[in-house]
Amino acid sequence: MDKGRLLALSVVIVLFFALAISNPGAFLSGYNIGTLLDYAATYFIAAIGLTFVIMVGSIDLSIGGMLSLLTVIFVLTLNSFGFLAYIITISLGFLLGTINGLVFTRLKIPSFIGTFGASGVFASLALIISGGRPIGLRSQAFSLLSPLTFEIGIIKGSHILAFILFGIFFLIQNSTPFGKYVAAIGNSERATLLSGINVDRNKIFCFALSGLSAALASIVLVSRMLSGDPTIGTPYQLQIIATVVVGGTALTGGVGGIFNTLLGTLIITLVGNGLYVIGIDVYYQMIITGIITMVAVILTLDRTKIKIVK
Amino acid sequence: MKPVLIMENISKTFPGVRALEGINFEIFPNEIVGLVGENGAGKSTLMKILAGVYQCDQGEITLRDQKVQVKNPQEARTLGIGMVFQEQAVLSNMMVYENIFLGREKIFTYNGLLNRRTMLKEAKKILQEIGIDLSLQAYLHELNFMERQMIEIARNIWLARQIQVENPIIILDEPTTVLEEEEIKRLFAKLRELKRKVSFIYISHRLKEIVELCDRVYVLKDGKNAGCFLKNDVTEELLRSKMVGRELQEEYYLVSKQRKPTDKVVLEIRDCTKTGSFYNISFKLLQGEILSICGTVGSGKEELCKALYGETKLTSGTILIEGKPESINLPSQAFSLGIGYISEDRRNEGLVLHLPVFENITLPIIHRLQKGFLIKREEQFKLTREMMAKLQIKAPSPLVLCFNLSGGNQQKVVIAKWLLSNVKVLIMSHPTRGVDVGAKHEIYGLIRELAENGMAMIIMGDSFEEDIGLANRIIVMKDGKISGILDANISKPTPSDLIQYVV
Repeated sequence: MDKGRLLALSVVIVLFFALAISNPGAFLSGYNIGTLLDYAATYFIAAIGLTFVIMVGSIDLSIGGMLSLLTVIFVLTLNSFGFLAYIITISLGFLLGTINGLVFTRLKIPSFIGTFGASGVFASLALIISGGRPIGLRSQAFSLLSPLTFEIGIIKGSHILAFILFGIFFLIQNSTPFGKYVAAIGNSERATLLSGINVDRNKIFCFALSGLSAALASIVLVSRMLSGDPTIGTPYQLQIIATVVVGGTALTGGVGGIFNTLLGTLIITLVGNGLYVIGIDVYYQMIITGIITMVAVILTLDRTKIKIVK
Repeated sequence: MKPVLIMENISKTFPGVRALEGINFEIFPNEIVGLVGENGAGKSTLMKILAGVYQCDQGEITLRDQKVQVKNPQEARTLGIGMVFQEQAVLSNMMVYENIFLGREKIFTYNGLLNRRTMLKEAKKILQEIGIDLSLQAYLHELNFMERQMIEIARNIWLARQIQVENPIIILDEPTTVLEEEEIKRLFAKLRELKRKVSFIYISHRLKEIVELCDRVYVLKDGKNAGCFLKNDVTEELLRSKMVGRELQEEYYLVSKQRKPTDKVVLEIRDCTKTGSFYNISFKLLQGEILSICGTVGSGKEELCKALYGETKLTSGTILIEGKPESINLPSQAFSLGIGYISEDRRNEGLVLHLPVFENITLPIIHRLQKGFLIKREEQFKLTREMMAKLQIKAPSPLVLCFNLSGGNQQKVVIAKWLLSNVKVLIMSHPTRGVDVGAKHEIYGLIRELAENGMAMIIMGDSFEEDIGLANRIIVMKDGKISGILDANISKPTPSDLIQYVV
């Protein structure tokens, strides 16, 4: 196990026990653990695609915008078309991600700017489509969410979904050519290109996966809130990037992976939850998240790749 | 025996440049063919045509009795033509076996998933076959340069096997640039062994290696064939003269212009140590002296030079400049004390490529050319023109971007920059790396002239010959210590004199 992963894992363990010891009544309650898993599942699912994007050395800043847009779309389609809404939302997410990837690779715009622009477009579309107000789910449509909302003890369908997705993407990362190419591109794009690999196609697919996971996360969000909110996404953007980076996936690419993101998810949710459990104002959460993100970047950045930081 | 590959009457024109004109080139099975020529002679264009990066405008390529057109690098690979690039196309964050099969994973997938076991088995087979003893699950960043090269060669051989090509062609582009003497020997032994299965094309600036290794050597000059020589006929002198086109009668390193340094000590280092790199180093550098420091990569010479221009700090010891102890903790301090540094990485560290010649030349002294807040541009031009004339920098005007200059002229711009800044000591790391023979010669001339004008220089050369040829004195370092000091003022030592101290 590499250094970053080990460090992240130890942070998770330390955080967990620190909280369990400091306030066992509140922290270990079924309700609290359930809430914790709710957040963890959402962050993790939203961050799956971003993990691949960051692994190739790029970034996707449009996830927040996509979450806003796709929760609205999912609720609207669920209200009118029923189960079809799942397919529509997921395909749309995949499509939006693919467009991001195409803009990045074909127009050769840095992903930082391309997806930054896209996030504005998505956020605006969400407001336009919804008329600026949250859209409620019709009560007849509630049952359509049962695959995500059914409960076994404190475990919900959405938690199981997150776990299954972890398994699938772990396999994709470690045992498919695509997974290998992602690591290869992140390490040396030129070397990968010279090995006869279609770098652009693989990069586009990373962005498509990012859109796909934003769609899945939107579905999970709707299952929790039972409404589509055109402004929900923005605060998530920082959290999701933090999730990936805190797990030890380097922004310089090539290092890290989906397991790191799982650990990152746990760190971010435990920190957020921990503040609440030990009674610190929730407004402090962004400060803490911001700082641990910076620390994580300091620890993981491969400075041999970027001699000069811009 | 019939040739594996015949390239006939190959021509290629780029906008404004006739890169290749009627080149003929053949390779036989089990042969190592050398390819030499100055920069811009067309070597790499020719090889890129063979490897599918460019298409030729004219001419025919016959591969194993069949006419072929190599449309792109992927196709070259399927024809059994592989290129091992100087910058290495391997991935340091992946394992040996993954690198060997990079881009060919498809055949190891079952239901979309990679079968690690068959990959490992196959990798083991190919490495055993070509006699490389490496752990299959080692990460490439744990391997040294040569081992990584072997992985690239293994990859090409495996690929040829896979597509059932007998005797593939592997192009090696400057494979020894960063290798040490010992490793080069091992690489050559390996190549000689592997040529039972492979034909190699060996591109190098190092003529000595070409002479030693190659069965046949092609010389290109100005995009044309300038000769093809068999092993028994070839000498370094012959190659050099064919490359330059004129017999290099005048001695290569201009030893007759070497002057004895004055007695004035410009730089002295006393008992300097940097833990982990070098220990208790002491020497004096005289005005007008050319001092070479030789040694292998781990010898500490690079670190020592870095400490002298302030990129790393000494653990202990004293540096005296003209007799005064000084501490040098930053390159800017070294600069203000009159120590300049010429990096081997000219394109990234030596120059700002996208700035014009005059901006580059005056960059270190620009604060002296100010009038109020503004820079006196006239002054900049004046100084630049002077330098361009003095060093014979071939650029149409001071406004040309350095990017557009040849390697030799770029190096002259770097030297001009330091000349203008009135440095007393110039540390040069591989001053002629990647520069063609003609320009090398001019740079040697410049170094001689600098010495004559009293500049003290520390040089880490590209080869022992270069170090010996240029230096007044040679310090050999080994394992962080000075293992020998050889005087070259009166008579020059031979490379073998040096080697006994190096290893």
